[in-house]
Amino acid sequence: MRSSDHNGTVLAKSIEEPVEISSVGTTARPGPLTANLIRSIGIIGAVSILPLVMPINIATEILIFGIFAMAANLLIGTAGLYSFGQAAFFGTGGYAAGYLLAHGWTSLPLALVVACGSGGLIAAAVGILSIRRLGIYFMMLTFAFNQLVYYIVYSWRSVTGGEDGLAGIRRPVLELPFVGSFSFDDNRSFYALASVLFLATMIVLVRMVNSPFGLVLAASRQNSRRTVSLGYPVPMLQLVAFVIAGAISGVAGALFAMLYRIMPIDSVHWTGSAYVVFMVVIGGQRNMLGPVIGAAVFIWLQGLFSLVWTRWPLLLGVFVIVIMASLPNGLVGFVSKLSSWTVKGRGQRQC
Amino acid sequence: MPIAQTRRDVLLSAVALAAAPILPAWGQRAGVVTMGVITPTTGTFAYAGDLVARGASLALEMHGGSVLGNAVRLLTRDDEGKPASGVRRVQEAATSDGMRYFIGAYSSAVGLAESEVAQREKLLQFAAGGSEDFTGSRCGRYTFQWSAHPYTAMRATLEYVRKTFPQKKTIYTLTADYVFGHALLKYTKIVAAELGFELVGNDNHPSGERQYTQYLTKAVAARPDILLLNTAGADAVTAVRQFASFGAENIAVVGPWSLEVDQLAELAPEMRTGLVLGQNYYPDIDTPANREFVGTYTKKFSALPGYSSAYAYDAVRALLMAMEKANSTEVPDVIKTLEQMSWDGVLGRMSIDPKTHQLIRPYFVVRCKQASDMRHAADFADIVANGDKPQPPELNECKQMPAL
Amino acid sequence: MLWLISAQLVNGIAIGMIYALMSFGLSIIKGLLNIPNFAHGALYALGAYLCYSVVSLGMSFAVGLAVAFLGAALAGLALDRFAIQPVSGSGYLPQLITLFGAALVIEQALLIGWGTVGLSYSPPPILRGAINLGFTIVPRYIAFASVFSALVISAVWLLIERTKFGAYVRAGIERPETTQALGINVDLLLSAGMMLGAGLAGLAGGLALPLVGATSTMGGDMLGIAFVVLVIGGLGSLYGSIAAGVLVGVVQSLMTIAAPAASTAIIYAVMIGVLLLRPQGLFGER
Repeated sequence: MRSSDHNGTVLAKSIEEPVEISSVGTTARPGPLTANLIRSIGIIGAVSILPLVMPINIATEILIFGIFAMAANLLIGTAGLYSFGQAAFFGTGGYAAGYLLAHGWTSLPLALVVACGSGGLIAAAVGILSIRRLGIYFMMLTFAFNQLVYYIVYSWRSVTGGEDGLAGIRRPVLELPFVGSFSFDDNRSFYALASVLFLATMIVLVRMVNSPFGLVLAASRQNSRRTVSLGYPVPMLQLVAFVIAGAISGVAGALFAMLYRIMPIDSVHWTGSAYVVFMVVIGGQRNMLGPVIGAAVFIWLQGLFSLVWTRWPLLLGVFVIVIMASLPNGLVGFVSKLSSWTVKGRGQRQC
Repeated sequence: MPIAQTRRDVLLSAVALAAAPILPAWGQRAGVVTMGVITPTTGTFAYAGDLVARGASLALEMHGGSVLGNAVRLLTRDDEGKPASGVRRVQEAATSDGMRYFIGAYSSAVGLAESEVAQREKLLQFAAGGSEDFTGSRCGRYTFQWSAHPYTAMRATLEYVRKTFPQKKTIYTLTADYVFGHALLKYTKIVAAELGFELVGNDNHPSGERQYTQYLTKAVAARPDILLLNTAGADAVTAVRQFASFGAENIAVVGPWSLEVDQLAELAPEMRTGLVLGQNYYPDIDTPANREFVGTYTKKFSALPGYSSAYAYDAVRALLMAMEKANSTEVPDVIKTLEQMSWDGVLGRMSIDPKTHQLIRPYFVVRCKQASDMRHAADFADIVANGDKPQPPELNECKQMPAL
Repeated sequence: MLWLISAQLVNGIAIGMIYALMSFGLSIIKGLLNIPNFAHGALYALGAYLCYSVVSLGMSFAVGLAVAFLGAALAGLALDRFAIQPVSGSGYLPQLITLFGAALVIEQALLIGWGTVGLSYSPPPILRGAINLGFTIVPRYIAFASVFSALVISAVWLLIERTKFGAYVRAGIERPETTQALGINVDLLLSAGMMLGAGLAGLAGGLALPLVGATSTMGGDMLGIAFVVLVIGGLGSLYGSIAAGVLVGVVQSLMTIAAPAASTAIIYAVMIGVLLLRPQGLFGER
């Protein structure tokens, strides 16, 4: 029989995948200092090379959707909350920041705080109403809330620009005391801003995932009931994760609004939510690099396929089906597998 | 859960990241003029993309493939009918491919978003679309509008109705609930006052609506003489289709800017019969340039051209003409030339209003035929009138055009 | 005013029946395979195109509807075989993603097969025109479509409640493990359920052809509504979607009297209202 988690409860799965309650509370294996260093240098290096090998606006988009996908992965990969409504928070952040930037408030910290706050706030409202639903129920609820937000944005034309999107957005300015003000009108300086926020998000999320908070979330993904019976307030922690993911998605949305200086209505549509789940699943859910790779591959493929054939979404669909059937753990999972074949006897691997 | 588990992971991932999207970055080469055809081949307007590209390449081909000794390269990109994708493709083509001219937006939302990039990156955009904002509140020195102004369209269409059916006096409107529909409704009121029609009711429907029976029940109950569709594209097709099932034959259906010739095939002949429609283009237009265009197009593609192809053809043709006249392929020179140019295009004598960048051009009214009167599958209608009354200047919201 | 309300009520019930047909298929698939079928909209579009092809070959509309049902059912079988089964071991997220991918493939294949320009078909002459009920007029085709939907739904209800196959289906929904243990081939049962659900989507598409025509994007429009209907009806209830479909149709129709522009947004608001009062949906059991 096919093992589908029926009605959200895990039957067969919990047997295959024993819960590592023992690891809750202990931090993950701290890698040697050099490995950490190489890791960081590798990522910073990749971020610096990116704009040299592709149009800079595409490189910036990869970082923005990388942020968005990492936030989604906090829910999908860590907490096991399959949200299909992340575009609502991306959109809320983008519209809120975009509205300020289009109406003369061009301070960068203000724009980011508003994006973060509004994304988090809407996520809190949606989360409170849906976090206690399990599995498929949660997914469809978030989907429906996403559509509700979409129609609100669509109808509230005086603020959002409705169907035409919110236009006239200006790039923000960063005023630093004693240093002077930075403007991000140049695409390279905007890329730098996106990289800083990207790296900051990555650090925050990786630390969060390895913190006791993240480990309890992971434990509740594997077996929610047992984690609750150990005394952890699982729904509360899941709600917190949901709000954090919403806030970070809001920042990604704000960056997106600044990038092209418009906030288009289709960025709030549920297909945006589906695409970010794509990115996470294609890249791999088990670490934070996966979603970023997924975002890069997804954006790159979209561009590539659309040059190859006018019916390019078909290629995208086939690609997704093939990837899912052949690499259920995503691209990064595949790479790990390769390296574990080549490096045998390297001890236990940990998720 | 570390970022990546081993050094090898990091290296492999870094390589994967770096080697990912290497697009060919040619840059603006000397002796090459790069023109973008940014058009939807997927999404709601998927039908338009290939037709726009056909028209553009035909214009270039008939011009010999080059201008002033420079080769002309056409870049075709899919904007998916979405503003973000359109802006992304324009930005990308401008920075990595050296594109300086582009045509082809199909939806106004996309075109207006692209127009902002055009002003900032100093790219010449020859747009088409229903929104009056192109040449109104969001006008710009780098953007030109090929399609007729909604006022011109409304006036030409209702003038025909007034003359041909003097007994029809009351109008019920069905309006798409977004900027385009509201602009048409605004001009419906103005033109109805000018021509002496009475407006007896209006319903707004959300764009993308697929159920019109509830609006149509209301409209039919009001017993108007005319049902005026201030809605376009797939919405208009669906509304007409569902109206046909009411069998309310004493109500004339009029679409001032609802269905271009490209989309008429979507309706079965019995649904079309008797429709009065405004058209930006119709293949029967009798001008030398259009005869040449239709002849070559039909020979090459074995089909009649429609609005999408004609627009792309005429816009590219006018751009190449302006470059030759300016004796330059620099954007500012071409803009200044276009602003003063008057030429014989496919629609007839055409010129640009330098204050708004609106193309001054005739607009056509057609009446759809019965199935038995059609001479071939694409013989949908007869041109019954045309008009070119421009928008009254006091209604225009385009402030001073900026310096180049 | 009363006139208008009753007119829209009749109209809403009629439209709601088509929603119900669409969502009923979704509900069967959800019940048996425990996945929201993201390709349901694409199957609906496929039904419309297939029906168009049949009638434009000169065959009757009834044959068109039959082909729409069978064609979509076969597509459902293919989906089950090539998109759902290969990833069934890895939880339902990969299944969702592959279904979404499959929807992209189907929609583009429709554009390749039938062209990018939408298609129209007028219903057979007997179904054209309108019926005057005195207080309102109802287009004949709308009346036909709602009665037909009701008949199909009743037939499927009989199939599920009164036949051996139906008993297996109910068992598969309520106790999949026990069903397997009893020696019933659950894999086969799931495939059959997928075919039935997909077929109903195709049938709904064929039925919608004279109303909305055939376009490649028609599926996306319908999918959102079908999901909302499913949630309002209650995800755990097989038949809740039927009543919810009618409810959504009526609410949408009545809303056009007060604020037409909000008629789509209102169904999402209704959904959230229902969930606040009854988190398990109108007919869902806890």
